[in-house]
Amino acid sequence: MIGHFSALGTRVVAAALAIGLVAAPAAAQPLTPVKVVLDWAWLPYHAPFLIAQDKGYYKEAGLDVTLEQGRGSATTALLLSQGGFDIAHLNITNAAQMVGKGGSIKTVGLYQHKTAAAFIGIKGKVKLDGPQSLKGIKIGSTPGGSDALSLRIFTTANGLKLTDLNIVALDANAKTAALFGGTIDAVSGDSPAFNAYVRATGQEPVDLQLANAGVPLVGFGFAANNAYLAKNPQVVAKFLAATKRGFIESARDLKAACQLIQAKVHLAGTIERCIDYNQGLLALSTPPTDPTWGQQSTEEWTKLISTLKSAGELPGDDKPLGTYYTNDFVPK
Amino acid sequence: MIGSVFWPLLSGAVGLALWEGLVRAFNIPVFLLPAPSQVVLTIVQQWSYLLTQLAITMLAAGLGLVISVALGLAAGAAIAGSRLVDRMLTPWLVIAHAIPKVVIAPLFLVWFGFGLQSEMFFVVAFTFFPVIVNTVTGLKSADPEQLLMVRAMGATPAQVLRKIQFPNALASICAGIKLAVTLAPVGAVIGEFVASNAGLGHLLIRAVGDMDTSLAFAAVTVFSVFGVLLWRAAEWVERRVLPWHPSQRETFLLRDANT
Amino acid sequence: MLAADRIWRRNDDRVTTGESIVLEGVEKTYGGPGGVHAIAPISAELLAGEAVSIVGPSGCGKSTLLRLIAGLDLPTRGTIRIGAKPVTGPVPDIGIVFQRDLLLEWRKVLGNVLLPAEIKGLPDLEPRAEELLRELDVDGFAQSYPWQLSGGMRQRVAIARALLTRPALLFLDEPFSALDALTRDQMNVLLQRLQITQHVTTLLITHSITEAIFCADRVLVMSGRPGAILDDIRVPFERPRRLAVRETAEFTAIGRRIREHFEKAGVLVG
Repeated sequence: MIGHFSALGTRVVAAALAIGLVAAPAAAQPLTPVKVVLDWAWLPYHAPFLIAQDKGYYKEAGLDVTLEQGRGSATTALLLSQGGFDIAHLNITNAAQMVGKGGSIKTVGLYQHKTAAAFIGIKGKVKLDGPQSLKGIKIGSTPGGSDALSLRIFTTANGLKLTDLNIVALDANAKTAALFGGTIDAVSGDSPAFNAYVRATGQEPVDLQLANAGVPLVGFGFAANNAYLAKNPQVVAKFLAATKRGFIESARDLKAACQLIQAKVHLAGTIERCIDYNQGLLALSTPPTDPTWGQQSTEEWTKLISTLKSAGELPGDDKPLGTYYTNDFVPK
Repeated sequence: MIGSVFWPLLSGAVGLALWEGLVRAFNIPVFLLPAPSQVVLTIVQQWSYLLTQLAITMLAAGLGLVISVALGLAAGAAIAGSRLVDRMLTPWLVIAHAIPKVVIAPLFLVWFGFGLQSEMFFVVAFTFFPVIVNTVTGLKSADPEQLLMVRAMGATPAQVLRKIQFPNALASICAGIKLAVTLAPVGAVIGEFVASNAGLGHLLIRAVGDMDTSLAFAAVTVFSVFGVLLWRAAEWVERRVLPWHPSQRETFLLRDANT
Repeated sequence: MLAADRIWRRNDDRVTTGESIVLEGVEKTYGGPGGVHAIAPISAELLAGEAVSIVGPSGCGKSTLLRLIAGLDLPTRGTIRIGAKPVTGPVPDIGIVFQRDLLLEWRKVLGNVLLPAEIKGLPDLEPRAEELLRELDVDGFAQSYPWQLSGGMRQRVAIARALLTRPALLFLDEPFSALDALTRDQMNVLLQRLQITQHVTTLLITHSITEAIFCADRVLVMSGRPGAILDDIRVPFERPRRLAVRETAEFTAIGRRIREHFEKAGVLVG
């Protein structure tokens, strides 16, 4: 019977089989789609996510991750709670406030345990050597912004009154211009950003870090929508693990990371400024290579919640800590 | 003819030269106020990026405008045709128009999410009112004797609307649409500030936040030039639609002998 | 000329064209009993094919009367019949020319003339439209916009529009009052020429005594508030008439008769 097949026909069948065997693994499981929302529009510290996409870490974890830029952590927390997204990268202080208001999200990882909130000025133009040095200088702050909250907590923690400070209300974008223009002496804002901006103009910054001045607020981490978390716990865990890889790779070679994000999403500024910004944030965070990266402690959460409560940010009844956060999904 | 091009150009050139001179003389840092030369350089360097973002903004503006005009004409006709509809609908329209859109913008984001749909909502919010108001005024301005005349000819209400009221209203409607055409891109950009991660508005937010002021200026320049082109296009369409209207006729009495 | 003579003789042979109009006790009051009494009970009969003019001072109710006959308004009392049919609403087969030409500025002249055909859904009337424009000496402007025409030309277009669908009745409500005197004379000649070539019952409302006589076979003198018919005068002149006929003794006699009514009514003091 075999003799009836032509020699050419046998070769064709064999080739087809070979191609099929090679192609099969590539046409394996479809990737799980995950909708991730960031805290803000693209900024230097978002590089790890793009690295995880670019180097295939998400794909290897079986995930098809879409990254959407945000409009502030408060809004991101709200969008996450509404279910418009599955996972968010955001400031966990805002996430805690959202939970306190009854939002259905939960923090699944926290890597920046010290808030980036600070007062930043230009060396030679202002002295920021302690809480008392803030009296009598013009401080730019965004009303209703996150720095307004940290400002309030700072004054309470240091025996000052808000009225002791000369606060100039400014739009978030206008703060930078005002600092360089000299219309204010210091900004109330995130130190990694402003330090990098000041250095990029060839000047030296001075700052007063609120985390060192009695403000136990926290910084960036991850949160998930509760319904999504209940239905897809594996996905969340895999996402965090793959993202950690991205963070590790980014910290390992910040220059390459900055080049990637600049090329991919039209990030403005120099590579140096991008690296500077990232380094500033890393200084306030757990190193990505650390096995405890992302883990949250009862102590820091208790402190955070009581601080927010006394600042009037958590209305209503006390919720158990378990509603706010979980370490179950942090990568080991 | 030369005069109508030469003097505006000269004036523009003088203005730009002053700006350039001021920036150089006072050594103003580029992130505070870029010189025109820097802005032009940025436009050239980032040409394709700027154009793709412009296209997104204009797409949202265009789609929103189409919806706005369609809804506006329908609502205007309904209001002009029925006192009851007028009394019940107009208060809502006035409120919707008076609310500062930027204030309720975050709500749009929460309700509709990021993207084109939110932007289009913004565009409609910005542009529906002039269309409706001008449509109502136009439809109500029909000559009562002409209405009597066609009624005498046996015209049905639909015929009256189509043959008398609507053509008579066209000049007013065109004015309303021209206003909407200039407001639509603005609405799209403001929508992008809040609820879109693409387009010139988004670009502006990032550029200003990143202190890339020359890119911000470049975006504003590109946007403005396009806005002027849109206006010209709207006038061109109006000329085609209203060839008979007094506004389109040459008024010899007002012509300057020197032009 | 020859055709006109033939048609006129046909009228003499009692071949009726157009429709007759009969008014019985027609009265109009605005604003309920005790309101404005616009028209006192009027009874009259206008024969088919007649050219009738109603002359009277402003406010005597002649335009109101025209609207009642056209069915654009209903009388408070009395009946109006056109042909044998009572008038209960807008009469379909009427061409009306108003004091303002009411041309649609956004349509060219030809489009304006064709408006009644569009509204009534009558096809293929373009040749007739063009023929009417020719008759009215404005055929060169068929593709022009109304703003490009003089007042007199615009009114001619309005007349063409009124005649497009070959109505049985042609009503003209002070159609030439807005025109200058010379143009007005020209239009008078035109109108009575039209009355020969188009077979319509014509009703002309005017406040010009000369025009009323020149353009009609019969003049109804109307005056007072409430409006009433004071006189019904036959005009004997043959058609087609020339402007010079206005200087004849007979013409001036009729004019005097009409003027005396107005003097008696206190409308004219002269």
